Amino acid sequence: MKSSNSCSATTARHRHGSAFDVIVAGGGHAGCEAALAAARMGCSVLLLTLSLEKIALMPCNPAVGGVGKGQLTREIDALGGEQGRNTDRSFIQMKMLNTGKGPAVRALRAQTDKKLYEDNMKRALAAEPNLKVLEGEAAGIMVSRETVAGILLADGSVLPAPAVVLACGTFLRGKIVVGDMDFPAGRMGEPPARELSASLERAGLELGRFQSATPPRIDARSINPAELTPDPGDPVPATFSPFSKADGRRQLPCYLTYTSPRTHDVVKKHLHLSPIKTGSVSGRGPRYCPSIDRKVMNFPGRDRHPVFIEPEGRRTSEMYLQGLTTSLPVWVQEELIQATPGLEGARLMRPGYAVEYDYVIPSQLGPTLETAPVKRLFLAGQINGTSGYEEAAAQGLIAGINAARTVRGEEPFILKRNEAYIGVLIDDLVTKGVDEPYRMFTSRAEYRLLLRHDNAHARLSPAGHSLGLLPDSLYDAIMKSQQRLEVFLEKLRSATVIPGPEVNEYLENIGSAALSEAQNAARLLKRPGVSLTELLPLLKEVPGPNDDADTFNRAEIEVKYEGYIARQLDDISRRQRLEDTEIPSDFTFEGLDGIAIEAREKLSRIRPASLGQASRIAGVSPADISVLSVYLRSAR
Amino acid sequence: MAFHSDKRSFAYDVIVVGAGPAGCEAALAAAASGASCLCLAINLDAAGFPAGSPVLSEGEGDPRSRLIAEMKTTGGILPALVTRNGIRVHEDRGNVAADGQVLIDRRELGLAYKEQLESSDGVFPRQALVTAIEPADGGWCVATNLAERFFAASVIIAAGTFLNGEVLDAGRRRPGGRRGEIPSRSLTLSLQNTGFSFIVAIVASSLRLDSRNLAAAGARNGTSRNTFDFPADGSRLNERYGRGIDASGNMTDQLANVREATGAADSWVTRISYIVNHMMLDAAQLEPSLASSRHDGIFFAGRAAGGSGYVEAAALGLTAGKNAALFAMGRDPDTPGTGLTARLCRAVALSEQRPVAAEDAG
Repeated sequence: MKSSNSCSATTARHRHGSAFDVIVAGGGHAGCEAALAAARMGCSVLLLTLSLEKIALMPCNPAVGGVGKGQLTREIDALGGEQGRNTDRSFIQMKMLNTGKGPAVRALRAQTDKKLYEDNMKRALAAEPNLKVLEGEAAGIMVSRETVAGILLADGSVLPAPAVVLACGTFLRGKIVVGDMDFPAGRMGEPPARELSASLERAGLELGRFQSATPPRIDARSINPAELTPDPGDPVPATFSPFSKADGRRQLPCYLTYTSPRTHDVVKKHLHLSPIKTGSVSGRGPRYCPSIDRKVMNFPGRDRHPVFIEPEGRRTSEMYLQGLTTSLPVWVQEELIQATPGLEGARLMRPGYAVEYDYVIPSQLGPTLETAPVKRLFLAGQINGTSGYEEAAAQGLIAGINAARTVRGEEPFILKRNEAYIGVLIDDLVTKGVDEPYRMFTSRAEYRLLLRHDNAHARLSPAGHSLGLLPDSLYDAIMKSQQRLEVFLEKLRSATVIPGPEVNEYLENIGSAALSEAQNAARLLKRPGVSLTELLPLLKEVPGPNDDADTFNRAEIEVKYEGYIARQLDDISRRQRLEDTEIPSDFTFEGLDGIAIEAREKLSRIRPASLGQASRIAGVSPADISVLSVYLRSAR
Repeated sequence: MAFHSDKRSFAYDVIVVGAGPAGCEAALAAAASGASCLCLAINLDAAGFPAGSPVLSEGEGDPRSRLIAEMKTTGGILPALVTRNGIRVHEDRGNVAADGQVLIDRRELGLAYKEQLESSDGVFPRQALVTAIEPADGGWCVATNLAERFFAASVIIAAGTFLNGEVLDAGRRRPGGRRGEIPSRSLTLSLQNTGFSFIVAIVASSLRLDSRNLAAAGARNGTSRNTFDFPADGSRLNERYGRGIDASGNMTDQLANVREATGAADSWVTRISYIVNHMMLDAAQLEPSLASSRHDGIFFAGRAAGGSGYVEAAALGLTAGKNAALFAMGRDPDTPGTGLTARLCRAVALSEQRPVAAEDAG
């Protein structure tokens, strides 16, 4: 099938005469990335959402990035997605985390002005000529011959399309829970989507139930910053996109305080009212983003937990209390806030609450996020059991790309675990499934030393460019930057350091052995404590990259970690054979002697696409893999 | 003026239920008069948001311009906001507003109102869904769906279209104050139990269309239909307000009507029109001061009082805010003037024909 630069509408024109190639249902972080990607790839796209006033909302933390998540946002940017750029336009504070630790865990985190973020995303949507929006409710997906055929609106209208992306967030049969009270809602103040879940179930998708909670917001005017520890942004803020221009904007600080034993007493005294204890929240909650209720329950030995007080925007007095997520009754929330040092006079502006919602069990998805029972139906975001705007946006981008490619008859776009955090995210979801809302950590990525913040654009912009999402000018600039790095590295690797008083004084000062004979510069740089900043002036024949801090920093990482990086690359090539061994989609796992029954069941259910993916399924042993590989060989 | 925290209760001078333009003006006016004012909104994200047409006024002769001029001298916030760049729209992609027409960016106005609430002394905005208002200790207890209780000397109900709001969206009925927003249902019942009576009112929310095909359509057909027949509705999503287009039926029907009206076969509707049924206070129970005649200390403003339009709502809110503050301080309400604002308040309280827009104020 030939590919072309623009999509052709493959459906008959509906009587209202509009034909869309891709319909995206849901205007949150996943939906926006999906819609933008498909539109930029030339498809005609419709973004359908319950309220056009609420595009790209941040219903929880007013922040993008952080450890693990920042890597996702950076990769989204490298591929030509929107979240990184939008964050750069909207941030009120930027911080590089873990600068004192290894490069694998260094990540960028931004506090954002929520309203500005929404407005900027709306403008991005409005700027796409191929993208239309519609305010409405999806009541169901239309399916014909196991393939999606479009969306059915709640008013009975039909929106046909050859590909659909569902990015419904927490709206599927959403229910808000606070203390012992609950009511239907997708978010506070907004009604849930009532019919879509049933439609998905009818189509053969199995749903689970999760819950997520958000902390209270307090009025900035009711706290005294002098009583709190300020947590400012970096003096020179970095950006997610290498092309975002510094504009010298004034950054706003966050503030830090800690809960006290008194705070915990309040929680303990009223723990019986927590939905977690009462069981009125039936879904599983995120273990790694625990509520203060859960923290007090699970860590009885800790006498304090950090609370970050984060501004939600420049023009609002609402402050987000990170660390005090809770769905305890409102009056308990007020008590525990007021029992926290620094927050004694704090006035509640919004109570914290939990929302329980349906999600689609993600092992029913393939690595393109297409569902197994319904072809050309893609799911992205919290609907897949993830939590976080970055996780959602990453999935949205991949779903949108693949929706466009499937309509154009092109090969799917799949990122592997060794290529991107996005690859780790999706592989984890579809291979291992989830038993609590999934959030990204660096520890999930076995190749994190290769998947760094600093090399994301080098890794992924070629793909972004060939997909049509990254324009030539940006791609060329990234490639030139990569070239500069290669040139500089070459020079470093071939430079020699001659022993002398200057060099040896430096080495002695940092507690390193003096040089007795000439040594390769790169080798010297590998020594612990040696920094490129100090070493470079001592290498007279290597011109520094001058103002190019980016090249400088990246070169230092590449050289210092060369050995570890090489080992990871080695590991990857050894595993490559497994990853490259495809399992045909019609392969039967039943009746394969020599493979444990439990393994056979899991393989049948998850239907891995490769031996590599099969090896990651819990319950499938290396022995099972060996046997399976024999069967595959004889099947060919 | 400080409130005291008493484990589960707070004491304010005034509580405003609703933070649309009426509620915002009421809260700001009450606080400016020296009252401590709690302002409750079902969703703080929608605080200050003016529902309706982006054409705030058609020009000098429009009574809404008169209301704004009056509010400038009587302490309303809206006049200053409307002159701000970004809120007042003069030009949209080469199309100039008709002479004197005041076109606004509704989202910007909402954000500005919210910013005012959150930066004005004496105003305490808070997200809450009010379910009951009951007499308590000489004042009023306002209760919410999360069992919060707030106490105040006077209460202003500026709940807009949210009292028992029901959205009729192409034949489907859903509870809602607006599309996508949960209404207040128990409150009306609670007020009825205290002796208030309400009438049902209806308001239509116009359809919006995608502006990008319109300019082309005009050029193609050579019509003189300029894009300001469909004024820009600054939601940042290329939308125009579809006034004058028959907006009945479902999406398919409305799309067909739009295509006929614009002469462009590829026109697109971004939001179809819908209707909201809601409760409005019976005029028999309202004084021209916007105090209820049924119970001392309960005031109404905006749509809930029987006004129509957000400029009118702001003017009503301003009056109610001042009078509620005066009541809380044990004083009589302001003597109503002779201006349009006063006539509007009178009309809302006395006229048979409800709701009342500025031109009906006599």
